[in-house]
Amino acid sequence: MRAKRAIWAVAAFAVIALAIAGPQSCTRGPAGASVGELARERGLSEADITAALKTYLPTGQLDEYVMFSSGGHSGQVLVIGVPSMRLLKVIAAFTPEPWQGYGYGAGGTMEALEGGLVNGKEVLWGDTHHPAISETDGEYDGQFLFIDDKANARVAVISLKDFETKQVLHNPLMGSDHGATFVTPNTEYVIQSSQYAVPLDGSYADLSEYQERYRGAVTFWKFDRAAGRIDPSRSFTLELPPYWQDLADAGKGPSMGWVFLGSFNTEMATGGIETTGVPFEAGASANDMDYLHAINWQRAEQVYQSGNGLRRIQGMSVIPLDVSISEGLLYLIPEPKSPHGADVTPDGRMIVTAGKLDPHVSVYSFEKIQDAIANETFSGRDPFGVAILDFDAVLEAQVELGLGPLHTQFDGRGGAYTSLFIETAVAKWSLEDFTLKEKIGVHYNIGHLAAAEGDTRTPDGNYLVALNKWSIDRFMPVGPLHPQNFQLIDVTGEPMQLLYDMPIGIGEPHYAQIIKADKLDPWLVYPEVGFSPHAMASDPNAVSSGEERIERNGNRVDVYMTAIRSHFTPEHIKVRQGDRVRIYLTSLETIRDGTHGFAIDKHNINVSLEPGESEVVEFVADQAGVYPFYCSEFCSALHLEMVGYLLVEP
Amino acid sequence: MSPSQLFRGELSRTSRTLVLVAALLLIPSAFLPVWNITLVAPQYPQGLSLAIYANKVAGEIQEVNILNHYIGMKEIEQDEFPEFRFIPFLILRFLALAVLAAIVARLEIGALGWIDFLVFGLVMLFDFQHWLYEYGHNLSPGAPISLDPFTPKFIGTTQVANFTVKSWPAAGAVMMALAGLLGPVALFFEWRRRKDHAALDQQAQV
Repeated sequence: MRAKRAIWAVAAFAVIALAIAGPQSCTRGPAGASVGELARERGLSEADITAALKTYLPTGQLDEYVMFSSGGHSGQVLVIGVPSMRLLKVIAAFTPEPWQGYGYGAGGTMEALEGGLVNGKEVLWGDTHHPAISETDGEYDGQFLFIDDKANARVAVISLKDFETKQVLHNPLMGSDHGATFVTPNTEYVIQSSQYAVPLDGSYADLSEYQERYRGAVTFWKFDRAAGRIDPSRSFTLELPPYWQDLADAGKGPSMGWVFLGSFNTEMATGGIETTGVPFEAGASANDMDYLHAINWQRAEQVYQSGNGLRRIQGMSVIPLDVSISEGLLYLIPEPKSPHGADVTPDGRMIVTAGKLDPHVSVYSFEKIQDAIANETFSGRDPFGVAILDFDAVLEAQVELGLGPLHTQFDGRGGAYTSLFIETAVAKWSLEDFTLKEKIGVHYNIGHLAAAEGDTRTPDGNYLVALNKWSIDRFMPVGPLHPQNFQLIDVTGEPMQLLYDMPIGIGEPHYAQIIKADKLDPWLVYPEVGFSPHAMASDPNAVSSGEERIERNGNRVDVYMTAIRSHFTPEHIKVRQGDRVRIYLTSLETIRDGTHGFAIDKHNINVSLEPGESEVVEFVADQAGVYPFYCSEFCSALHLEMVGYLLVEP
Repeated sequence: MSPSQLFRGELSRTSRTLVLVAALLLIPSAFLPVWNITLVAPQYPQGLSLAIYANKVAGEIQEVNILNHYIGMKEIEQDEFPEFRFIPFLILRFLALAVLAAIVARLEIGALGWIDFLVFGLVMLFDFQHWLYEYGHNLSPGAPISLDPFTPKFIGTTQVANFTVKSWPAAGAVMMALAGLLGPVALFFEWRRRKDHAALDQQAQV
């Protein structure tokens, strides 16, 4: 018995000895200095080292999560690996992007951008705000991504098979949007709501007619998953009072069928500091309470399908305000002033709003909201006749967090995280006892925050990213326009730990969503040679090797061309000045990274031909001359030799 | 024991089973890759693989051809190899001989099939080596990259420019080799059995 115990003791000692000796014997890195020496030399604390260990990815290792972030004014979406915070891709949406060949001649991309014409006008920037990953049963399904352009009230649809924009839509009813894009739990609809009210019919109305003529709106864009497109012909809009509607979130679980939409300027201020002396900033924040909109979208869908009382405005089906009131589609709930978030808890039972000029978050119970509607526990009606639910009857709790609460995400363990803009911090609080747990300072002026799957039914509760507007001293000075700062925070335990700062050198990103990487299943190459990314199907105009040709039809010249390392076929295209030239391009490549470019000098044409991709470019050869075309992607050792001549005879 | 003694009488149950097993082994060998050639380079970490079957070459042929065109190598195309048209029939023939040998229980037929098969195997190895030589030596003089002629080893590893070419027998070849090995095993059994019989016969005569 004693001998046995002695053996155990020796074994335990050996394990401890190994544990001590092990790390020491391997702390000397390849460069010579030990970890301890390196840390001392660089002035790194133990917390710094753990932060580095939590984020560092050796070459060849992949991230656990992928974050889709708005690219702000760039009109693009940023794809970022988490926790490494490495930029993986920039997806062009509202703005042409040369490398992806988006908007430089490739037919499908031109068509997508054309969808974003605003009253026939080209608008080549977008103020992207809120990306939304498609959902199934309230969980990210990793198939599609939506993003809005606040400035021009547009929505883009991106396929997560090839991470390319397939569709851009302009909402003619809105001046600008803000509550976009958000999806219903099965992506039945993509939600877009207006920000600054304008007349819905696009006509002129003086600001003195603000209450009569100006209106807000929320559009439910019908998403056709099989087509991978929004179907405007099956979409509908609710007319809203001319408050400035803000962020939205769709109910789920028990609150399935509803959507919640914050608002401000319920004062309906019309500004005019130069004459009235009351600027918008004062007029729109005079009242202590604004209105959270509760919208029964499933019943609205029935009203839309019945066609009763619908109005057609600018080609859109609109449910007028009086119909919404009589059908019980819309209710208002008082919420503390100038809110910026309406976030449904993972269990779908509560809605959290944060009034940025009030130190509290307000938590509403969906059940109490339903009771108040059923019992008509109203505190009154707004000037348009919309019922206002009694604040105390629907409130579950208020939690004082600090200054400037904006936006809330969840960890799936009963924890909620709210960004505090003025305080420049993240507050962690409990949904169970409604108390503040801790705060962590961020650098600086946080807007939105994004937690791993933090707005789904089952948040992961490990990573959180603070999307900070200012960086001040966090990065090397690069002139007066500073990068913004994405800060990665570990929220697995208490206290929260700041791990990493990622400078964002383009645009002003707003919101981001973080999805588990294994939910994404993108193509590595297109599924077959001759695949059209626009049609998402085999392209009838694609050609295989040996079928290349040039066909002339009057003054139209059709070129059927293939690209493979390291040549285009044909290499000589001879046309006459004034000919309309259409080049059908097929990449015969089948391996990863076997991408070619197709650029024609002096024609503003640059196509990205990814392995298997088929594209078409069309232009008028209006100037006689000699124009080399070449592969603009360093495809192979003979990349420079991958060239041809477009000869335009006078 | 004279050869006439060896070929006298029927095959034993064991030998017939062995010959039948050899025949069965040949069936999958007609559908499995016989030889694998893998080309590994830094930018192809997973390697490019070519699988040679009894009747075709499969795998990343297009990519291999793209790379080969830089050094002026002839394209790998199925029609280039007349062998693919008759190898399946040869395998069928060995199979038929083995099954026949097992049914009629005649050693001559088995032996004929085995020798036939052995000659086929050796000829095919030479043929394979010949093709490797051909492809490595018939380089177009107009190629963008000029390389000294080379012959990849039909078994083993060869360095060609930035590629490490690994050539190894695959499942089909293993099946064929096993089938081939069963021939001598059966012969050994027969020889031992008949030697014993001959001895018994002699004793009886004495």
